[in-house]
Amino acid sequence: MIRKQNVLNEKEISVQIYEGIVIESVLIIGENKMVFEDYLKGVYKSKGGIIRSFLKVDKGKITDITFSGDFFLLPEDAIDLITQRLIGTDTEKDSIRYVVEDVYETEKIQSPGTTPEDFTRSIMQAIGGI
Amino acid sequence: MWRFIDTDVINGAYSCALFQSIGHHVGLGISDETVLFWRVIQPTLYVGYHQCISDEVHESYCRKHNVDIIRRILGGGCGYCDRNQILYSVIGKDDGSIPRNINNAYKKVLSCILIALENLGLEGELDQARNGIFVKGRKISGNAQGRFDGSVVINGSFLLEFDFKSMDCVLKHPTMNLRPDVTTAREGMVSLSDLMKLPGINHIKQVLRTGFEEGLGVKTYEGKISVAEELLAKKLTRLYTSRDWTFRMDDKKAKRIKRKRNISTDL
Repeated sequence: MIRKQNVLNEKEISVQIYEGIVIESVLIIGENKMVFEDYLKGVYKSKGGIIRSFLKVDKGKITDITFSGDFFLLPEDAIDLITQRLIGTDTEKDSIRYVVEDVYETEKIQSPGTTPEDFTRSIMQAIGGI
Repeated sequence: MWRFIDTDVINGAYSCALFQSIGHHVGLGISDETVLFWRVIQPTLYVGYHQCISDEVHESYCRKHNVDIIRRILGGGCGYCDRNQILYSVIGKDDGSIPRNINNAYKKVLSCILIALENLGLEGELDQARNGIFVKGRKISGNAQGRFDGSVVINGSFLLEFDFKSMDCVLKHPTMNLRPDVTTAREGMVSLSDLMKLPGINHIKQVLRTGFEEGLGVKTYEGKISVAEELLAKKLTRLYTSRDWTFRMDDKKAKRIKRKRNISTDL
C-alpha cells in the first residue's frame, strides 16, 4: 500500500508500507531533498511496536539521533541513554547493535517484543537510504 | 488486602496524573496496592510515551471536536476513549505479587479480564504480542505497562461500546495494533455491546472487580484517594495538560530541523 503523509511540517514524503516486517522506506521528493539532506529516517516494525529513527550522520558516525514509536521500554526514559550512547558511534551494524545491547545490559532494560537488533535495523534502514 | 477506587468520570489529564501519583505512593509503601477504575469525561486520546503526535494523530480534527490529547508516561500506542469504556489501572509494588518479568506481569493482570469475561458468559483470549484481550479474534481490551518509583502499573481499557467512526478520524493508523489482516478498526475490534445485551455499568464494574480479585489472588476494600495522592495528582495534572509535555517528541524533531536550517543560514 502506498500512503502519503505530511511529516515535519509542510514537507511531504512518500512512505511505502508493506505487510510484514519492513514497514516503510522513505523517499524524498523533489525540492524537499535539501532539507533532509543529512537527516535520515528509518522505520522498522518489531513485534513490540514500530521504531522510527531520525538521525544525522557525518563522516561515518552518528551525530544526532531520536527514536519515536509505540514500543515499550522499561524504564521508558532509558531511551535517552540509548540515544546519548549512539552519538559518535560508527554507522556499522555491529557497532550500533553492540552499543544498544550494552545499554540494555547496564540499565537492565526490558522491552517485550523489541530487541537491540530491532533498534539497529531501524537505524540501518535510515542509513541505507543515504 | 488491596484498595479499590472507582472515580468514575474524570478528565483524561487528571487520570494520568492520578495513576502516576498512586504509583508513587504505592512504591514508597505509603499507600496500599490499588485497583483503580475510571472513565473519561470527554473523548480523549492517550498517546504513548515515545510517540510523535504528528506521526499518529489528526490534530486538527481533535481540536475541532474537543478530543483531549494526553501523553502518558507508559509506552505503547494510542488509545482512543470516551465514556463508554471502563479504564483500569492495576498499581502494585515492584517487589509485590505482580511478577517482575513484563510478560508474566501481563499474563497475571490480563487473566483478571479473562475471568471477568468468563463471568459474563464470554470466552476471551490473551494475545501476548499485542498486550490485548480478544474475543472471537477481535480486540476488546488494550493494555500498557510501566514501572516507576518502586511501583508497577498496568493500565487497560474494557470496551462496553465504541465509537469506531471517531477513532478513524482521530488516528492516522487506526488498525496499527490490531490483527495484521484487518483493514478497518471495526473489523478488528469488538465491544461488549456487540456480544451481549449490555448489563448495567455497575454490574460490569463489579464483575471486573471480582475478576481482579480472583486473578490477582487478593481481596479489595472500598478505598479513597489520600490527601497526599490528591495533592501530587493536582500538581501532575498541570504537567499533563502542558503543551511541552504533550508535544515533547514532536519538539525534539522540530529542534533538529531548526538547527539544520540555522546552519544553512550561517553558511
